[in-house]
Amino acid sequence: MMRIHRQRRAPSAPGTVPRVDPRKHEADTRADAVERSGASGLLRRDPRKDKDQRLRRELHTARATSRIGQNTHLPVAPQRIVLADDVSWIVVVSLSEEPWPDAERELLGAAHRVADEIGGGVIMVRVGFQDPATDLGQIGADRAVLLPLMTDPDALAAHVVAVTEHFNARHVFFGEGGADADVARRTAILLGERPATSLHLLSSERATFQEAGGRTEVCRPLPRVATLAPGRFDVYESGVAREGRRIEIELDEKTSGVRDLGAVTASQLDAPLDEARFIVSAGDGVNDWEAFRGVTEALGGTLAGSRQVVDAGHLPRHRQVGASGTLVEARCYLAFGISGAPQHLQGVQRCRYVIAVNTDLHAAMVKRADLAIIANAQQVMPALARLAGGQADA
Amino acid sequence: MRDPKVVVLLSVGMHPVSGRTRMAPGDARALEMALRLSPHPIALHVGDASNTGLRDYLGMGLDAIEVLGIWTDGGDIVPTLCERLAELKPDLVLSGMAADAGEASGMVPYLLAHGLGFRHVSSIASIEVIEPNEAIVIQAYRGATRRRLAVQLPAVISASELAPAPRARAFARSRRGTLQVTAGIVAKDHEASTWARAPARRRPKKISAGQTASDSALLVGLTPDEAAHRILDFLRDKNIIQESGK
Repeated sequence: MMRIHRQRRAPSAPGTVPRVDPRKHEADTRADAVERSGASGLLRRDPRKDKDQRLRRELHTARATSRIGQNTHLPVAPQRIVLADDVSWIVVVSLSEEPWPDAERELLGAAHRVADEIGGGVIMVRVGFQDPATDLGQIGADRAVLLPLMTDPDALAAHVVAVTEHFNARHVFFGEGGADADVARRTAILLGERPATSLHLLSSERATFQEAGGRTEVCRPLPRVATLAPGRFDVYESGVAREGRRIEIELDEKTSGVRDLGAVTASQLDAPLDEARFIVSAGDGVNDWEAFRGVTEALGGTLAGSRQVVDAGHLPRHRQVGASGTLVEARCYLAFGISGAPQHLQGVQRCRYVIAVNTDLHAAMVKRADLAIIANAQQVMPALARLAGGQADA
Repeated sequence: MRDPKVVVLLSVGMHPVSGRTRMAPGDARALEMALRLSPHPIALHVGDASNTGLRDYLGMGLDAIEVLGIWTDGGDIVPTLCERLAELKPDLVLSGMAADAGEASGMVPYLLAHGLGFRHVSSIASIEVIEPNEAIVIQAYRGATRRRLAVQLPAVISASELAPAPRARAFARSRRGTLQVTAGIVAKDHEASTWARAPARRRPKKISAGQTASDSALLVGLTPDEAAHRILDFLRDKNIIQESGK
């Protein structure tokens, strides 16, 4: 048998810095205050101690709020609504399919900042479908003009000009992207204006955009027609609702030399992913591929998959959504059995609506989804195909 | 139509990272479209003939590029182009969506169509047929289905970024092709010269957290049929699929 004797460390020579046990050192600092003066005499913050205190404070507030939510009913104050009458107007135009997910809200937010400076109001011109669940006043519209869906950009621009002139609006804002950018330029031509495009900053007097491939920043007086770059402006969130009153305007029929001959293909099943409007996507949770194809066909969607199913050979490589596949800009993304790896979520970042069907309640995809259903995809897919198919036949 | 008269407008681009001159990617797509329509399209450029970026277009199979005007900085290309196009009387004018360098407002095709009284269609992925007085084209936007349009000729057509990629360039052809300079006066863009310019600053984009709608729903314990109903209702509410049979 062997016995290990621990030797006593010799006392350190005078003048040397004593060695500190890191565990003990941590305990010592934690006992101290958060702020202590360092060698330079300045106050130093201990980040660990700081974090502890912050966490405790957050936990405390969270408990306090949940207690209020559970036991007491706070009186709901009637929301203030701001009315705008006989003011100078700013028109915001958004087409049915927004060029990027939050385009409409960002445009209204930017327009309101300008309107507040000049003491004006905002008129929203919405073309095509308007979600009845959206309260137009809440997102910042004083007036709303709803126009029917038009595929002819010239006719649409003529209508926008008619609305602009009817209200004698000072500015017209569009989103820079897709068909919106096209209509914006046609409107500018009709109004005889030189538009400012892809603005990054905006005030009632100055408009800032980039030129020379993003190397130079140009500041010019804000013209009558402008398009705003995506993701540069805050949405309207003031807690004060606007009126959102709907205005009916009689508009003449316009014709131009361009005829619309309709959509190119009836089936969207194998449309290119970056052009697809509605994508039905499969992940590892799908093993019934017949049902998956059936439901996509019944809903009129486009087939796609995560990296796992493409690697496994269930779908071709050009059907892969995610960082190493295609970054999709679909209006709606229906995910069956996809847990939502960060690379996959990156791919669906620009989708407006995400629906997830997954068995895992804690999957990242479920957190991202606008509608999440905790169920087995194998059972939901045939049910959905039957329901959608039955509706189509009826 | 046999042999439509096709004019393609070419600008010089700039590489976003290195800053070197190159062909503008959007205009290269327009040239690809033009070369598929006609073996010898007329190519126009307003600017500096000594620019090496122009040689890239010649490498794609062009015999010559007409370079208009004596270029000085701060010029306005629209009047010069308008004048030359009025002389040429083309059936089709092809361009990219927006320039790569300069103001890049994407207004040139609109101003030309307005000035010449041509029709203009934007974001075109391909030209299918050219008939005596109209062209059948395919319009493509991201996140939308492709549509087929019939546009009356003469027309200005802007090539979409979703149009077929430009063909490979041949070095020998890019050396052999000629740049025919026609001297002329290029008007000054007086309005743009009064704007304040400064080196661009990095401005972070606004990030909306996850972009999930405020009314997002998490449903547990539904039967498959109930789940299917909820999904279908959601799709109809958001106008993703239209209600059929009504």
